[in-house]
Amino acid sequence: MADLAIDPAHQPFYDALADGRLLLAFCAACGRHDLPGTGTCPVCLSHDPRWEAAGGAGTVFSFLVFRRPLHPDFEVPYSVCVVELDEGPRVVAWLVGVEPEDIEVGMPVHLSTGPTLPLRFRREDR
Amino acid sequence: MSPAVISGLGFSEITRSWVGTAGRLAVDASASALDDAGLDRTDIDGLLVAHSPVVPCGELGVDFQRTLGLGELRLLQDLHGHGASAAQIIEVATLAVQAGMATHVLCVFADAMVGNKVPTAEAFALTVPHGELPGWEATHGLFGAHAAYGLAARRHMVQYGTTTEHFGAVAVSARRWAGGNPLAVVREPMTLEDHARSPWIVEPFRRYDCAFPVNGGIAVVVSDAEAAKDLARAPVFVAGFGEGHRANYRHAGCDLEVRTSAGTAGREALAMARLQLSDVDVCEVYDCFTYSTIVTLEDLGFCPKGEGGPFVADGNIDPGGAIPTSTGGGQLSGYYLQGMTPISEAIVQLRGDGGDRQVPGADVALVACQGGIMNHHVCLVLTTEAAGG
Ligand SMILES: [Zn+2]
Repeated sequence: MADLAIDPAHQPFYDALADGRLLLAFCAACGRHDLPGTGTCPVCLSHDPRWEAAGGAGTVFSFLVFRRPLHPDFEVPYSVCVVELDEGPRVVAWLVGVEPEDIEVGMPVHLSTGPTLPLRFRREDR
Repeated sequence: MSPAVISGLGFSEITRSWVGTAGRLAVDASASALDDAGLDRTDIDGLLVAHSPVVPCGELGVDFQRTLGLGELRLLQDLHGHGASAAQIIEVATLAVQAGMATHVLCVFADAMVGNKVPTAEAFALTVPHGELPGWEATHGLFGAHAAYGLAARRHMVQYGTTTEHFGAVAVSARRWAGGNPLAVVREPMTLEDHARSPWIVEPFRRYDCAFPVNGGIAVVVSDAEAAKDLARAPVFVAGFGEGHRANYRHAGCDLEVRTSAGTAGREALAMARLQLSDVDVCEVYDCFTYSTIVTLEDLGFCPKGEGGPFVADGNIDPGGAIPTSTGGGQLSGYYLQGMTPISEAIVQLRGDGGDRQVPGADVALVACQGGIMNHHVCLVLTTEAAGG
């Protein structure tokens, strides 16, 4: 697995992931949720977002199926999704338990992550 | 205020094998452009350079003045605007010439992606973060520019019914144009069936949906029109330019995957040139992937939003079509030298140097460059006559 270069400011995010929880940067000033990033809310320019657990529900925003190997750690074919969380942020993740040909944009999914990355979602019937 | 014109265009060798660094290719392109214009190095008083992230600034940055053995300059910049930089250095050169800062500005781009120390795929992979968590993409196996564009293309397919056959129509058209371009790196005829049989790289893109990386350099000389009057080549006028930029917030509500700021850039450029879309004879786009041609033509306004797929499938961008597009084979089949690909081809067409691919009566070219992943758009309007002429 390729190495993560963890920004110290993102440590709580990764610590929570190790417990299977996905934290978002929540801006109490304006109510915006984001993935941890710059530390500045792009809507209201507050600098002190707090950590808040994501509800875990989302939909597939877009996806790819890799069929040509680019890295020895990833055996093709494999899919990679961008999930739009109900809170708003879009995150790169894996959709597990669904064959690549069955993935659809808009498909409801739910967080199903374990103690290690990749971040995983499962299909959810809602 | 004297208008700015393009007085010189030069190419290095363009090849799929390693022949030297980008710096060296940039030297060859520069010498070729000066020769084309009939200028000497001592005539150059401005230098603007741009390069891809795999080329270090030390190789093709402000120190390129020394590499090229230039004397004192009145203008020198290394511009970092992602893929749109090549068009931006033409803009800066034009503004500088119009302001009297410089008389002859050499604008240089070079790249050396093939056979370099960093494998091509990795070089791309390292440069395309989807978010702001370092390493997150690689941890999930999300590699490469083709992936980033593929995610955008998928949105267009779902929202507007665009198909891989539509992407194929762009690839086939580019190959037809490339057949008439001696500089194009792939010129063998291609059919829609060939496209459909080409292997998936990352769905929704097949091999023929992706540009072939090359090594090469292109240089353009932008001159004061008065000073260029007696030079070797007929001038090409920089009649207009415009930019459009949107950040991708990777958040609900953001739709730049399917609706880009090429529209803003194109409208601004045409307005500055006092021309309409209907005046455009050739359109040269940044077609690093087939999808980008489709979305760019929509955003420029050549067809309604969402109808780009059927528009290209109907032959509108082909030789003899309503709007001849990427007439040298583009980046897909010609050569991928970022924004210099569409810029150089526009100059070739307006000079009437297109040979077998020449579009008859090409007097107005709209060049649409982009950078980032659908983020940064810069359009140029190049013409054979001065505005109002
Ligand atoms: Zn805020």
